[in-house]
Amino acid sequence: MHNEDLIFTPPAKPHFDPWAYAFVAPAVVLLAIFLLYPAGWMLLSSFQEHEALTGPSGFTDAAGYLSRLWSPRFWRAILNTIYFAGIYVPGSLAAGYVLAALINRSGRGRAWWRALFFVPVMLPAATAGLLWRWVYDPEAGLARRLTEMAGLEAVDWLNEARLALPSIAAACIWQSAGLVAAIISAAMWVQPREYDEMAELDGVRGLKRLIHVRLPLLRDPLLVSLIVLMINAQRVFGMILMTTEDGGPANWSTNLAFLVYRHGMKEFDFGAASAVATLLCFSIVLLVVLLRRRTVEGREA
Amino acid sequence: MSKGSRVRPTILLAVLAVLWVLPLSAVLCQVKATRGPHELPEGEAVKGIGRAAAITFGASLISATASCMVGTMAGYALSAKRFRGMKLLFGTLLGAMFMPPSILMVPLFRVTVGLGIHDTVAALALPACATAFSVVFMKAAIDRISPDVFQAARIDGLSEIGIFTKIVVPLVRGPMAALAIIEFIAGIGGLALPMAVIDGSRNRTLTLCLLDSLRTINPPPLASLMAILALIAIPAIVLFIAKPGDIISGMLAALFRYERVEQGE
Repeated sequence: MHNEDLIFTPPAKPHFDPWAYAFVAPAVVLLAIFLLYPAGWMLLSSFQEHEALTGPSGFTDAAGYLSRLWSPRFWRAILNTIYFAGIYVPGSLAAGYVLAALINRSGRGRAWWRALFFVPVMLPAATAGLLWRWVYDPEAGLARRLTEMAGLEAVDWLNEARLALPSIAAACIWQSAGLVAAIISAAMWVQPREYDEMAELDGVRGLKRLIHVRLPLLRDPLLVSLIVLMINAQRVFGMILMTTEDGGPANWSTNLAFLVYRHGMKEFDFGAASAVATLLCFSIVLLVVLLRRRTVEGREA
Repeated sequence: MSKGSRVRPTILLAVLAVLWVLPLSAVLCQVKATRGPHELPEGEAVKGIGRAAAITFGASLISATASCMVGTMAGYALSAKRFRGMKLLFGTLLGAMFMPPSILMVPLFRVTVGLGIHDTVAALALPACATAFSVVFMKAAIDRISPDVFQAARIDGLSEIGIFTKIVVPLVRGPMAALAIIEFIAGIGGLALPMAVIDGSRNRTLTLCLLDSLRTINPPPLASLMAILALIAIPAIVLFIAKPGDIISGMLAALFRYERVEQGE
C-alpha cells in the first residue's frame, strides 16, 4: 500500500530540508556569534578610522589602508613569517618522513610509536612553549648543557636576534613532526611494494630510489602535509608568546599572527590589527582552497 | 621482512624517542636548579591556583561536552543530508578551522563585552561550545557510516531524532570521545581566548597564571610555574594516551578526507 515509501531514495540535489537545518542550527548560531560576526567586524574595521576610546569614525581610503600596514615592523613580520616557514616546513616534512619510514618498518610496535611521537602534537602551545623556554634557558637549560658537552660556547638562543626565530622553529618542528609522520605513514602502509622491488631489481638504490620511486608514490600525502604545514607556519602564536613574550629582541621573532596581537591587544591600534589580520586571513584561505582541491580531486581521480 | 631489518628501525626509533622526550626532561633539570636559596617569592604565582584550576577544568568540561554534541549534530546533517547552503557552510567551516587564534582576540573581547559576559566563566566556555573543527571532525567520522544504514532506519519508521539518537550516536561513540578529549585539551591549554575575555585575576585560567607570573615576577618562580605546567600537561598527555588511535585517525580524516567514501571504493 505504501509502496512509494519503500522505494524512498535521498534526493541527489541539495534542497530545502528542515531537519538538516534543525541539526546544524546550534552550531551555526554559536559560530555566527563567536566567529562570523567577529570576523566580519574585523574585516570592516580594517577599513575604518579608529580612535582608541571613541570607536570607529568614518572610512579610510586606499592610501590610509596602505599606510597603516606600512611600517618597518610590518615588513619585519612578513619576512619573519616567510623565514620561519622556510625552516619549519621543510624541517617538519623531513623529520615526519624519516619518522614515518621508521615507524612503518618497526613491525608490531607501529601504533605505539606513532602515538608516542604524536604526544607533542597534542601538547598545548602554552605548555610546549614554556618547556622550550627552559630548554633554551641560558643558565641551566638543556641546550646549554648540550653545547657544553660538545665543547662549544654558550649561546642565549632566544635573546640573540638572529637565533630567536630558528630556535622557535625547531620547537615547532618538534611539535609538528608527529602529525606529518602520521599522515605519511598511513599512506605508506597501503602502498604497493612492487615498485620498490622492481627498483631493487633494476639496481636503482639510495637517493635515486627515494627521489624517483618512493617520493612520487607519496605525492598526495606529501602535498597535503606541505599545505597544512604552510598554514600552520602562519598560525604560530602561543609558541612565540611563551618563549619570547614581546615578539623577541627588536621584533626578530614577531610574525604576522603575533603582530595582530601586538597591535590589537597591546597598543589598541584596532585598525592596524584588523588590516594585518585580514591579510593573514586571505593568505590562509588561499591555502585552504588549495588543500580542498587537492583532497577532493585526489579522491575523484 | 627479515628479522634483522626490523630491529634496526626500532633501535633508531628508540634513539629518536629519547630525543623527543628530552624537552620534557628539561622540567627535571629545573627542579634541581631551583632547589637553591633563591626559590621564593612563590606566593604571588600560587595564590588562587585552586580557583584557577577549577575555572579552567570546569569551563573546558562544559565547552568540550557542548562542542561534541553540537558538532555531532551538524556533522550528521553535513554528512547524511543534502540541503541548500551545505557547500557554503562546509567551506566556511574549513576556512574557520585553520584561522590563527590571535586574529579574533580583539573582536571576541568586544563580543563578550557586548553580551555582558566579559570576565566571567561563561565568556571562557561559550565561544568554545561550537568549533569549526568539531563539526568537520564529526562529519568525517559519520562519512564512514554507509548511508544505507540511515535509509534502512528511515524505512523502519524511525523518526529523524530517533535516527540521530539511536543510530548515529551509538555508531560514533569512539570518535565522539576522541573529539571530547581533543576539545578538552584545547580548552585547558587555550591562550588566545582567555587572554581576550578575562581581565584581572579573579577568573584567571591556569594559562593566564603562567603568563602573569612569567611577566610580573623576575626571575620567574620556576618551581610553581612547573606545578601549573604539570596541571595542564599531565591531564593532556594522560587523556591522549587513553585513546591515541581514535584521536590520530580522527584528526587525519578531518584534515584531508572531505568527501563521503562511496561504497565499494
